[in-house]
Amino acid sequence: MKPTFDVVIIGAGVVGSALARHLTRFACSVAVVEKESDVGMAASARNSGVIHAGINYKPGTLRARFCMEGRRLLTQLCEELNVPYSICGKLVVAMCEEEVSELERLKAQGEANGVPDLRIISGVEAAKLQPGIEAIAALHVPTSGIVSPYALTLAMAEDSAVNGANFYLATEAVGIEHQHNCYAIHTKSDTVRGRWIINCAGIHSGRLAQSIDSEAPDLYPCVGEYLLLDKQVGEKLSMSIYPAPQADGAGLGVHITPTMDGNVLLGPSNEYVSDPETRCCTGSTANRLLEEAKTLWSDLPPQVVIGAYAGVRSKQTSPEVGGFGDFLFRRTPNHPQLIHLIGIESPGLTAAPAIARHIVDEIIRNEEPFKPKTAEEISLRRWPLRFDELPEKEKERLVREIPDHGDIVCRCEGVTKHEILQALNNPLGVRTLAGIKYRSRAMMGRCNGGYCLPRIVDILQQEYGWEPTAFQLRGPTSPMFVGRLLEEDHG
Amino acid sequence: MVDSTRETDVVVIGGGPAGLAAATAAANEGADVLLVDRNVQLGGILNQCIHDGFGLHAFGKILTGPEFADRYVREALEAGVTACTDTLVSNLSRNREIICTTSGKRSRIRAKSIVLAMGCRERTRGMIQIPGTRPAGVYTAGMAQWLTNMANIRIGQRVVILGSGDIGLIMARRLTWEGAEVSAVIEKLPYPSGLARNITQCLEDYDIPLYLSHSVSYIHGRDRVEAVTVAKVDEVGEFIRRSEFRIPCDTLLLSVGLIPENELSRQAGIQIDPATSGASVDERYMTNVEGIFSCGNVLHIHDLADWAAEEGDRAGRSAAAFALGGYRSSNAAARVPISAGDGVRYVVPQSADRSTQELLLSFRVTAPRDEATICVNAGDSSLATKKLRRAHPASMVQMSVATDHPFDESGLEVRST
Ligand SMILES: Cc1cc2nc3c(=O)[nH]c(=O)nc-3n(C[C@H](O)[C@H](O)[C@H](O)COP(=O)(O)OP(=O)(O)OC[C@H]3O[C@@H](n4cnc5c(N)ncnc54)[C@H](O)[C@@H]3O)c2cc1C
Ligand SMILES: Cc1cc2nc3c(=O)[nH]c(=O)nc-3n(C[C@H](O)[C@H](O)[C@H](O)COP(=O)(O)OP(=O)(O)OC[C@H]3O[C@@H](n4cnc5c(N)ncnc54)[C@H](O)[C@@H]3O)c2cc1C
Repeated sequence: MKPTFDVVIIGAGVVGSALARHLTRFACSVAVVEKESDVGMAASARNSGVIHAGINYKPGTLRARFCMEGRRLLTQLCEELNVPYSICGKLVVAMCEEEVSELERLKAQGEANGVPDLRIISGVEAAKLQPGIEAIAALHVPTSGIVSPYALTLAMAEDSAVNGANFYLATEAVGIEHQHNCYAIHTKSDTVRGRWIINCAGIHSGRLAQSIDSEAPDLYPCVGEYLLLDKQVGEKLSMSIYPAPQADGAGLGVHITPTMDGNVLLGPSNEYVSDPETRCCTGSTANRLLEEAKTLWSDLPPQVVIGAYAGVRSKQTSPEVGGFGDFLFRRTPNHPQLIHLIGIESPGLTAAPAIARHIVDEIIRNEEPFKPKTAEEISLRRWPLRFDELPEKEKERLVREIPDHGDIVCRCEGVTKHEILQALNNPLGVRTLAGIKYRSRAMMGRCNGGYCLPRIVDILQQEYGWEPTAFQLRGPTSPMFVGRLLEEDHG
Repeated sequence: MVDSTRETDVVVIGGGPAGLAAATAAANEGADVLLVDRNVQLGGILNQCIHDGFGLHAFGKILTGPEFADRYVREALEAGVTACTDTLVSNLSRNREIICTTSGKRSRIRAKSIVLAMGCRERTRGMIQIPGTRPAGVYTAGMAQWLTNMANIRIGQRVVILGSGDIGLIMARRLTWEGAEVSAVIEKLPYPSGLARNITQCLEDYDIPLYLSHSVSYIHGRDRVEAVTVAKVDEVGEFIRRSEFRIPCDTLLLSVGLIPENELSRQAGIQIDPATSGASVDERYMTNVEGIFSCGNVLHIHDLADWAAEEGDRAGRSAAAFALGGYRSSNAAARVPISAGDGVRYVVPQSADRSTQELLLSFRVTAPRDEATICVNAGDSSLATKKLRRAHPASMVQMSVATDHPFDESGLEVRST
């Protein structure tokens, strides 16, 4: 039987990974149970990647509090883990007089939350900050930023794995049961026990909580689709552009955002769906996103879409009600060592590090004397520098030192063979192509892997002896190939 | 310590048929030529085209892709070309300096002239935005060709192919030979985009249905493709309601077009013609950047490797002349535009010196038609005409124009009526 862990985290999104990362700074045993074959494959990899400044949330809400605390901790964490981020600012644009009063309301709300340096500027000034904007006025939010959401989640998870967290991947929790002195998390194949349980299973957290706590709320999946644009567009966009909020919006409206990798995102759409696992993109939405984006930014060139994806919001508000609920940290008197994090929708990415601090430092450690680890007991795992972003001199030096850096496998993103192998040999033991993709950025560029997938296949066959059936996109249920061709068929 | 910059007369980037022919031609003119290719083997895309049908035009013989490539490789080496394989050109600058990278080494090379022959890449699912889930089992046809022919991998059992480009058609036959069931080829346009001979030899001979004016409206399957929904489309490409049907399959191949690979060209500030997605060139295949030439699929998509090679030959000779000093640059005032008129999608070259006496025009028509007349006009006068029994966007057309008068200032226009 497995040991009973001090803390078991269910769900390795950005919240679960931030929790694991913070817990591994203390002398306690930690397990993470994740249903997918890798961490951060749900909402945490499928969002806008915006570090929110804090203008969108009612003062006094948990969303406002954890956004403000989270953004400070997030940038610290990025520095520490070497995760790329940028405080590039954003513009919320008004196209008519009514929208200008929305900007004023946002500004006042932001100031009440403590957001510094907010300014309402003229359309002319906005167009100077970001050419191509044709608005009558804009709210400039200089403290807004961007981060690579999957790099952040992976970096936190891998750092916690190196520091002792036990990851159970491809392990879906189906129910939680109270046993003496601990809780048992039943999975499809196994049982994992912990004295403390933190349920941060994203869209499934409500349903999972209901397996032991019938009063826990339902969640409503609400999908947001995005289009990903070529880096050619990224060169022209220096900050995020948001529309003025719409009164009934369940999201922040279709916006245009640069990514840390140099691309541009258009989206998200906003549609309640029945399937919480939706990853689908629809043709009609894609067209609408392009049209809406064009009104925000007239410089948007045609024919630059290189991909699309969709993320699911965990909404506590039903389609009839709309709008936003607040984060819910649910802990009942019957089960004080069981914490459900429910309805962590936007700004959950920004807030995650602060949510983790709060749960660990202000709840669990209040009751558990976990000793902080000393600096020597911690081995920091820094997210690798990207070869492509180094100066030429440095590249020449590195190639001599590590010959595999001379072998560029993905030409769109400039990923070297060394980086591919580094991604493959990750501390979570993830061996999927998607795992290589999110860690190295190979296959993420404009050719969608047309150039590098064959090369990666070649490297893994030649150097690691992989058989065709060993190649999986996201896990055992998504095989890439059927097998080998028979020799006699060949020719 | 930084490697000192090497110098040479001509650098050719890309060792497919166009690059090989360019390198050979330049070397035969007496230039020192360095041919750089990122693959281990020279030959470009030909190495994965193990079917025959090459060389009829260039050698009067039917060859397979690798056989065709071998001939060009041999010619290049005999002409004294220095080949540098397994080496990727990662940077190109306006002053004709490149950075090459290979295992253990990154180096800079300066050339007197450069020929771009980087070929093309395939359009992807991301670019055409097919709705649905995001499972394993969606491949571009060229990638499937590599996996099948070069890596000996069986990619799937039940295959649907979207797009009737030549590579997709050839893969329909290839996968059938390998025991896969190819259920359908789906084409959005009312006519196929591949060559007629491939429709016969790759689909009809194997009873593979071709659905014209249809497209894939949805991909199903969370982890691996399980089916596609196919529906009819109207004249503007919108799906027609209630025309959907579902085809179970585990693999979807995309043969939806090729894009010239011009990332390096953009780095050097080379102007791209939106109609071809390749460089705008003059009659000697020079781009707007002095001393940088372009040919083959990186310039515009060719349907026959033979023609890519022939273009390479011309560009290679120009590049050698430029490097060796026998090149008379034409000033901007002497250049006139060559434009695509009615019924013509693009024309290469996009401009020419007014004093040009012989000119080869390559172009495609916009829509299929029987009995087309192609006219090359200069101002009010007609320079050449040609009757085609059948004109089809899938087939590139070439036409020579000879004149002993300078071209009209307004330039040339090619039209198809
Ligand atoms: C469209 C969209 C745009 C957004 N934009 C932003 C933004 O710009 N800025 C921002 O700050 N926030 C943004 N957010 C919010 C942010 O993405 C989320 O709040 C955050 O990712 C939530 O993280 P999480 O870890 O709670 O959930 P998730 O990332 O969904 O993680 C939950 C994890 O639990 C796993 N899991 C689920 N069920 C089980 C089970 N039964 N057993 C085991 N594991 C299970 C899942 O596989 C998943 O890995 C956006 C969200 C969406 C959807
Ligand atoms: C998948 C596919 C199948 C085809 N099948 C047929 C067919 O059956 N019959 C037919 O007649 N035509 C076929 N064609 C068309 C045929 O490819 C072209 O007519 C011809 O090969 C084009 O020659 P090229 O030299 O321009 O390009 P390619 O043959 O593509 O050669 C380009 C070369 O440049 C190299 N390169 C690119 N960038 C760099 C860089 N930065 N550094 C170093 N090297 C670089 C590439 O590795 C490649 O070797 C096919 C095309 C494709 C894409």
